[in-house]
Amino acid sequence: MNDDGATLRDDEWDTRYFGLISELAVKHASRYEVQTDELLKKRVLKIEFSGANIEFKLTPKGCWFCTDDPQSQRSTNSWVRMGWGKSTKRRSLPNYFAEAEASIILDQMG
Amino acid sequence: MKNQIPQHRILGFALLLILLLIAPFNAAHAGVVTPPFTHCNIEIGDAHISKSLLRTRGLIAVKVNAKSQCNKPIRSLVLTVEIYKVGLLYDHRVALKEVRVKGVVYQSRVVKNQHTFVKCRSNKWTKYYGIAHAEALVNGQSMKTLRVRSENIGRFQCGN
Repeated sequence: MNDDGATLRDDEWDTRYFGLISELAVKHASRYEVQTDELLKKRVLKIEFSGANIEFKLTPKGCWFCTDDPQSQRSTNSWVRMGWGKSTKRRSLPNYFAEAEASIILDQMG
Repeated sequence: MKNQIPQHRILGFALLLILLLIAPFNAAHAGVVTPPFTHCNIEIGDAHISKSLLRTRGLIAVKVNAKSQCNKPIRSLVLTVEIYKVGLLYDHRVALKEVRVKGVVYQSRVVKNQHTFVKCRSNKWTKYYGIAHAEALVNGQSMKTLRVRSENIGRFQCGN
């Protein structure tokens, strides 16, 4: 672990986290495309992943996700700015789905 | 017959008055300082460019980490980290992550929020900082920390 005082940086943890997001983004690319279309159309999307529930909500400037996992002691709520346009949201959403699912996996690992 | 008060009595009375006025500001007369109820604290790091994301995926993202620690067992901890970019008129929030721990967090255990990041969309020089806050149940009472801001503002080639 490389904890850095000023930034509390932990490169080992970051490598695991971003590696997982990357892996999920490639593995579930086609599912994320379908989810992106559905979320852009309905503005709210509920999915189940690894026994946990994830809810996505579009806001004018970005997107929320909330996780609820009965198996885990932890849950994560998140919001990120994606921009006003539909096209920027379309570009950002697949990775955001991967980010939410990576949070579930890491929370289940403790 | 003139009723005169001796000068030394006037001087003595004035001195007594001054002493009475000064007394409340004297440290010895100050109220008893009570120690804080808990030694719970949160710490937030400066915004930085994630080296591992740049190395592994060639992507640039600004990240802010935070951690919380308490000398008492706490329940239902919510540790929130927000990333802001400095704007012309006001600062804009670009990301938020809340880490919620449902059960008990045992005393002195460190809980980290390392998930908060935002990807860069252009090469525009932009200033970023983070804000962290937490809430939890301590002895059954709901307690909130103040909003803590990163010590330094980071300037990166990372437009958003």
